[in-house]
Amino acid sequence: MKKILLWILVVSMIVVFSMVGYLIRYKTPAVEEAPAENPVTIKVWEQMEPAAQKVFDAVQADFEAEYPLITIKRTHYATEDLRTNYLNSAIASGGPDIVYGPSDNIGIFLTADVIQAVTGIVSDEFLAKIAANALADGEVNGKNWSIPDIHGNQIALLYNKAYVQEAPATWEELVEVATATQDVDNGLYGFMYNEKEPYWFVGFFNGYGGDVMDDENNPTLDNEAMVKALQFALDIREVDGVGVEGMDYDTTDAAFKEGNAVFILNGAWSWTSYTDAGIDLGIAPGPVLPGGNNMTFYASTKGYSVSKDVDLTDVDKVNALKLFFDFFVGTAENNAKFALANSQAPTNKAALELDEIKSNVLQQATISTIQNTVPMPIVAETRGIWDAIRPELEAVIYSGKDPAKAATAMQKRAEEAIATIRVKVPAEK
Amino acid sequence: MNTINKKNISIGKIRRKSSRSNNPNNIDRGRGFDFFSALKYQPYLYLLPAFIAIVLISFFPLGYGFWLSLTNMSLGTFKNPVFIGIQNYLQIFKDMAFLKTLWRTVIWTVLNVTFHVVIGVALAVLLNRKLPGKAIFRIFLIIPWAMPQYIAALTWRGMFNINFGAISILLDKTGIGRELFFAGIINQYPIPWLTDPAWLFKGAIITNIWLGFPFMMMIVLGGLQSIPNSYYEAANLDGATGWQKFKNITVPMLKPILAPAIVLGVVWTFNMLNVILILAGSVGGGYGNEASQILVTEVYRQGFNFYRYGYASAYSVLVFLILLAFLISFMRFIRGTESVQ
Repeated sequence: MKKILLWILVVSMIVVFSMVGYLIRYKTPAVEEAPAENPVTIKVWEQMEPAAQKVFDAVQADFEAEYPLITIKRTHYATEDLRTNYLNSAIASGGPDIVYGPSDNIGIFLTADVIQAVTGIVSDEFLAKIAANALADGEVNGKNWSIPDIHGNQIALLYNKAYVQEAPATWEELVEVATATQDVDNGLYGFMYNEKEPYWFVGFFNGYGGDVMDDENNPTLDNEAMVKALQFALDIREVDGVGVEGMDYDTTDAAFKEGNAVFILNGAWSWTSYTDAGIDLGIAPGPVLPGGNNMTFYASTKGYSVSKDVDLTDVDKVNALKLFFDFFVGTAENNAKFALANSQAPTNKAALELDEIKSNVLQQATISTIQNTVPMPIVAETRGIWDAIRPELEAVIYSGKDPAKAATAMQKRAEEAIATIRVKVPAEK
Repeated sequence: MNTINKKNISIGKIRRKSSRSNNPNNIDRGRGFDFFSALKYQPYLYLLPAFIAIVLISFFPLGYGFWLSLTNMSLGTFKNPVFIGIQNYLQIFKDMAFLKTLWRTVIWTVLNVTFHVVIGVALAVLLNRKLPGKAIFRIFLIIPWAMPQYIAALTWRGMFNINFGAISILLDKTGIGRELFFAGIINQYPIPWLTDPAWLFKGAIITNIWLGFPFMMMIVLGGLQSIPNSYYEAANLDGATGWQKFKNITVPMLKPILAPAIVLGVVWTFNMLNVILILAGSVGGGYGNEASQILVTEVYRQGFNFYRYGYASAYSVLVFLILLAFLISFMRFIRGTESVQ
């Protein structure tokens, strides 16, 4: 009898709290109206590097000194936490006015309907201050969903000038130099990169003329470009004799920092750490692939998006946001500070012309290598693409799977994954 | 005792009667504040804060998760999910990958918990004896438990690297790897711990065994120290062997301590997310081959890679029900063996 009562209690509690959850879920959030002429608080949730956070605090102090009625509340999150917490806040309320992060968040937030177009807040004159290629990264369906403040994140060919003075233009040249220089028995490797990570691999795929999705965001992975790219990835170790099995981000990074790698492929976020480690760093675009074009990696931006919960009829809030964007991104000097802290290119056109940017070797390397990139897709379906590429790429380079079969399997996986991302099981009736 | 109780009861009755009779008008009789009746509810008042906390921390998330599992909540329906009944569950059962992953999860859990218990008991028995430097051994053996899981898993990942990892180098320098390969015990050499899904799974099991045995060891050690020495002395007088003493004294006496520890071990291992994700290098986005994944990593993938909250919740509910079923069966089994004894 006790057991029955216990079960009844458990089941009834689950039912009751499910109903409570339902009621809470469907409660219409109350719209708070900020009285005019009152102080305004801008809540910012960001995913910034530690150096950029310090810059933010300094710029914030200047901003609040200039606009004493506006207060900024900054909260830091790690990349995945920012996405999850921001999505959760859209249901539970209490989220920020502005969310700052990489542009691939935009697709997710847009699909979840938790951000609004920035074109409803900032003027065309303001947007004209931003570099067109950076602005385009946050554009979906003809609207801008982000105000980018840094541009880059691209992978490039890095070389240690202690071994090589000039970057090779082609893969064949790289292999020649790498094999001549490497001394594997003594722990010096000619070439290393994060071989199982799709973000690196797509540089080969793009270089062979591939594009992961079509205009309708459907996967386009089962094609000649993919087969060639997979074959190239397999041949790096097997045929060309450079690289080493098991090389990943950590081993590549550590080997280069310790002067144990001649060439590596790594992203702009890492470059400062190599110069700090005392490496005489050379940076160049990815070399020309055998029978293809240059390795063409993705570039992306980081920027500020505006929460859907920001009420555009709240004049004080909207004005405060305009001032915020103008101060943080629209002011060339401030934008340059963020760019330098992140070792990535500024997005403000005037900032690109500042002396501190022009005289900075890493900044110039970033700006020049961006020319050899393509924008990273930011739609939510991209997650399905990454999810599909990795296991098949691993199967080819580690288990010798036929590249053509892997490309077909990759396409199937991507279609299934994207179908799950788009799922709206019979939602609208 | 009886007399006192009766006396107390009768005093109570007298007091109640007198309190009523002192009321000249008998107004509000039965409706006013009755202190003695209120006392009856006092225990519930004491329990209320804990009850509210349990409701908020346990029951509400459980109920909300169950509700989500009956909706189509995903990225596309994030703000307006619709009730779809048990469709998510049907979809999971239709997917053959679920059964494979479930089977892999069972293997993962059984192997891990078995080794945790066997190694934990063996080490605890050793540490319970007179040993020189016992305290130092105990500290060293607790280290895996004291180390943050994330750090430990990252360290193991480094050690498993096929070229630069300590384990690979050790197997190579000692020649053990080659011997194992030529003896047919391993099918690949050098062992691709991190790049082959099957080996990745084996590597994850080794890592998790290393992480988990100290907990069992400490629990068992505590249990061993509570067994009265007189039992063993009596067994010695009867001429019992070491194995007989272990089987007939140690194991039965440890059972009340081991049972909840095993239950905890099973629940923790079944839901162990970190080790596999970190070893596969999947933290923060990318996702490895399915052949090395368990149910809870699939929940993570569906929930945080694809944002299929409804579907991931259905997975979570199934994990909960599987564990609940195990828990009930296991406790019944333990009670059964206790009643036989």
